[in-house]
Amino acid sequence: MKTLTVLLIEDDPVDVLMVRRVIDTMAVDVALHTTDSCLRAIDLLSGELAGRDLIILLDINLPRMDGLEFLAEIRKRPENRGVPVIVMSTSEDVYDVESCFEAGISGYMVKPFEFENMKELIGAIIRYWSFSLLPHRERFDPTLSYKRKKRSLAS
Amino acid sequence: MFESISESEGGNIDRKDSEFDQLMYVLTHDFKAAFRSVYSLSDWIRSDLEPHLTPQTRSYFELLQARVRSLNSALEELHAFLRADREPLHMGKIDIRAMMDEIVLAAGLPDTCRIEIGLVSREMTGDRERMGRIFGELIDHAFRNLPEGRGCIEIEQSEIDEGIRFEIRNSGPPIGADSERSLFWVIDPGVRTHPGKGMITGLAYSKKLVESIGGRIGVVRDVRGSTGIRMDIPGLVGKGDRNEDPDGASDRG
Repeated sequence: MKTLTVLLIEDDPVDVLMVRRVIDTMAVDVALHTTDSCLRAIDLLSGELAGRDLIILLDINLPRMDGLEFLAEIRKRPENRGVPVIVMSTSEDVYDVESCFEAGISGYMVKPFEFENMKELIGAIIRYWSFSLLPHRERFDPTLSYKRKKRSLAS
Repeated sequence: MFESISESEGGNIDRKDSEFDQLMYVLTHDFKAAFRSVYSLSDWIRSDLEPHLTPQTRSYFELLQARVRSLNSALEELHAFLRADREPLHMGKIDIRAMMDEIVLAAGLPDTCRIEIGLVSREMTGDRERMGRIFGELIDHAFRNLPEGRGCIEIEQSEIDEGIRFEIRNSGPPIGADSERSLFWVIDPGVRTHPGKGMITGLAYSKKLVESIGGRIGVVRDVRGSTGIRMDIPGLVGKGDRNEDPDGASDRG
């Protein structure tokens, strides 16, 4: 069974934890990779994660290389040009949103204050891309929630 | 000499803008992220400990979360206030009736509150999104000053030489002299530290929005002692294009 890979580029450990918690509750099989560095993310894209069905969740404000520079860099590479990139930001500023779309993102999410709202948003994003990227018969395992629960109880 | 002074002043303005942008950046990203983290972590700790919590510790968590939520709201208000006159205007023709209907719908007031709108013009020129924000704030303020949220809010529109005038009144008690003085204060030190209350008080945000489009806002008092908020907004009105709606008003509620 193919799985969707989510590459989360985020330097806030609590936000990483939030995304992990969201994915743990989902009935879609997702492989989560996290890094707090855009430079490391570029390495992952051309190495370990090359050729995968992938979406990127990207925080914009990161040290060394920021999210917009990262976008410009990966859009130059033919193999990463079509990878959906969804920005997760606390900024609602219209300039920030516009500059991200101009740089070639696929979606922009303002991080909600409440975890429950965050869960709904990230869940919707992952489900959407899972359905868009993976063939129908390979994207849904009806027993997955049960297996996850069992794994969680065992651990 | 004149040129050099201008350049120097220009440099100061640029520097202040840049400092302001840095402040905005910190407010938007770092503080909000920190508040969200504290809120979520405390929520998870509370749910993990739920079976062992006493009513007292549960109330501590509730207080902690209420305070963090309040700080986050205050930050959002402050951010909106500081940005109010820095966003570009998107001017266009506005159908006043359609705009008011949309604003009333968005206000989501309960059935105990009726809104009556009297319009004499059909069209104005302005930034519709900003007008929506201004009316949203004013309607919210008028509603909050209705005893138990019961009564009527009246919005009257007229034409003046420089543009267009709106007056917003409610059927609640008139604005007292003390309240009038502090109505447009940016921050009321007595209020801002209370959980659940915002930071930007009264109508300071509305005032800044109105001034950002070159308008004026203030309290208006009539001879019977009734009070309301009046705002004059520059804007081309479709002269001679009066609303032909026979009653010229719409009711809600």
